[in-house]
Amino acid sequence: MFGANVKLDKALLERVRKYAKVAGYSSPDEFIAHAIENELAKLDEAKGEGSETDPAVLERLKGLGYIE
Amino acid sequence: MNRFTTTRPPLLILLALFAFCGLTGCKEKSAADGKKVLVLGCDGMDPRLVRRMIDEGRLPHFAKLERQGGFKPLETSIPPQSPVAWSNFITGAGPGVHGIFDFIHRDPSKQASPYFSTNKVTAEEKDPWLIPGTEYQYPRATATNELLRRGTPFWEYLDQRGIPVRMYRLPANYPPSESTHGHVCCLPGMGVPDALGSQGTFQHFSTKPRLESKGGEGMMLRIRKDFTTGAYVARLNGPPNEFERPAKGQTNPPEMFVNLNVYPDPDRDVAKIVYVNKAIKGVPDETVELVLDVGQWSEWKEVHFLKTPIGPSFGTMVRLYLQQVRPNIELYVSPLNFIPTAPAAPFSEPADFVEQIGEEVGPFYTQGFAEEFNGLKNGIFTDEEYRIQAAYVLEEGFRLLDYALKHFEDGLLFFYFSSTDLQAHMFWWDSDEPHPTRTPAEAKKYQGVIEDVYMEMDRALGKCMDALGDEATIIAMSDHGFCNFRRGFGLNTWLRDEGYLVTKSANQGCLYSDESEWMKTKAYGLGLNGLYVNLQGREKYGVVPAAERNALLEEISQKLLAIRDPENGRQVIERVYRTDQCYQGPEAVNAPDLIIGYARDYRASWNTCLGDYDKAVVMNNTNPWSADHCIAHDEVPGVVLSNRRLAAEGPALIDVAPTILNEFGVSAPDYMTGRSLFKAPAPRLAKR
Repeated sequence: MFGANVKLDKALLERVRKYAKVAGYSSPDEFIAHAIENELAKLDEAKGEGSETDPAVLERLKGLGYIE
Repeated sequence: MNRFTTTRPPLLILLALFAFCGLTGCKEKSAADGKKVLVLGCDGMDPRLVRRMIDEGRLPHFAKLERQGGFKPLETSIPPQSPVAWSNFITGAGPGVHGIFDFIHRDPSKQASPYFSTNKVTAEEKDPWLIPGTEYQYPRATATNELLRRGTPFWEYLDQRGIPVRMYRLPANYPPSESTHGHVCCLPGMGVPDALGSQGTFQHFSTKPRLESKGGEGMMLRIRKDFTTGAYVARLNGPPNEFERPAKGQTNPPEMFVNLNVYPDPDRDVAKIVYVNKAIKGVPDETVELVLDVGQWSEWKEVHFLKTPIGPSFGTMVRLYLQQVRPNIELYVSPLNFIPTAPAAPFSEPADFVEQIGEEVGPFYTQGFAEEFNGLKNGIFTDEEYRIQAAYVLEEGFRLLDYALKHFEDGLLFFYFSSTDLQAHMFWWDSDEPHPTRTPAEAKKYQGVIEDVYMEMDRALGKCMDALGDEATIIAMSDHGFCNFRRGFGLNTWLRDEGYLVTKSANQGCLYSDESEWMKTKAYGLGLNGLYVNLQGREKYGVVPAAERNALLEEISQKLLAIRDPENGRQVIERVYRTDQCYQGPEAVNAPDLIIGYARDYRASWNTCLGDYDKAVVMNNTNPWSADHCIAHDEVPGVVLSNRRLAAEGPALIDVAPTILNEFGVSAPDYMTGRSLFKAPAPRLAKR
């Protein structure tokens, strides 16, 4: 399935096995793949998307004299 | 039996006693038992100017207080911004307890997303019920308005003991804290929005050809002639009508409006303005007509926005100012204010407190920032026009003060004036350096206006002293001082130049644009004094590991302190405060990592505050907002004077609340890091 193997230390692998079982994943591999996909999705979102700022809020704040 | 030995008072004596009480209004004594404490808050009152004017004999009542008890600088908050400072006053503790660090906070879960620090309105998502066959709907969503200041306000401890508290125009208390025992009345000031939910959006109408704009500071709009009626029609914008369905393709309901029909006199500099307050079906509409000379302000005029033919109606009030009728009609309309006697949304505590005030005083500015500085900032007002409008606000303040003193029996009375701050921002200039917008003579003239305002504060103090007498404890104080704002510092531009903040290109953009490269950014600036580390695990796209935070902050701090203004070689930043060192309390975790303490003459640039960039790192301030105080806190202390001896050394804002409590025999709770102003000094060990 993977083009490469990834090494994990024993303690981390143990935690992966434990939580994969609790969370209902079919295998630790599936849990790891899902966790990495989630992180990658966040990074994709972070790439130059800026923050979730409501322009209406910005405009209201501009009325505060101290700010333009 | 001898008639004088009876155990019951003779009937005649009883009747006389009842009559006497009816005439004098005898009331059952409150738990304050006649004890009176007055705190007169003059926002931004500066100790250097007070000192000079007392010495010149121009502030006789402040001078009397000084003789009686003393006059000292009052240490302000870090940073010295009004919502932070007044929150220090309210809680008797610093930002680590009350959680207000700036006018602007950010939501780390939304990566640098800014919001107003002192209150938050959250609307629930709920589909409205559509009313078939009409363009109307019934809104089911409700909104909650939350006061974001944490901690317990000092008056809670007076309320618990039945000691009456009356507070007028109190800043940083909107929506007002609830009076849990019913002995507290509060008319909030700073923070109360206008009826559009903003901090004061004017509407300016002109027949001059120009692009219309609707911004947070104001709306620049056109007046168009209706050739059927001959009227020039100014469309006064109201809030969105949640009872009306959004237009096709739109998500938000349409804004309500009322047409102001302007009829300029063909020969004279005067105009008639006519508009209609539509009423519900079956009730006659109200036609409002007023005539204004050029240069004249109207009285408060109610403007009602009818949401559906059967109601409800959204009531507001405005003041209109006719600037010109020829060659162009220019009409300025103040922000839409809530009507004191019938507020469209409750905002005082209790809700009817503002109504009682309005019944007796008449209409007055209910929005927190009553002075219409946005008019001057945007070139709509001249300096003189702003001075006149601000003077009106001050006059209203005196009417409110008369009401407050008349209705004060005992307990605590807090009264606040904004004039010393909001006029100072536009008129203060206390050096020979070139003013951003005025000639030297004009700068001196308008600095004189500030001195006139200080004399008015002295007059207000005199009223209080006459009304309350020497037995009352009187404290006059301010939250911070003032200084010129001549040069701006582009914090985000500097961070970008130093590689701490990364953007895709050298072009502008802002923190919220797709120019930002958050995964490479270590720090960003937001608000008037805040710098945030893009910390992993805290910020949504945080990349700086916790283990590297200290070293990064040390590095940035040293570099900031080393910056010199290329114009004159001056140090731009005098102090850099680490909030993990100067704040204590549970809210400190939400604070910016650094508070930038600018030197006198300097402040965050206009673009820095909402996460934008500048072309240069240090630049001239060219805005009529020419004075400020959001700098190193020890440069702009406030003032404290009292008719009781100010025994404490180095008094601070956090000391006022414990002082008030002690005056009523109430011990200050442990979390209040302040101590009594009137007690002999003990070492100040606690952080702010």
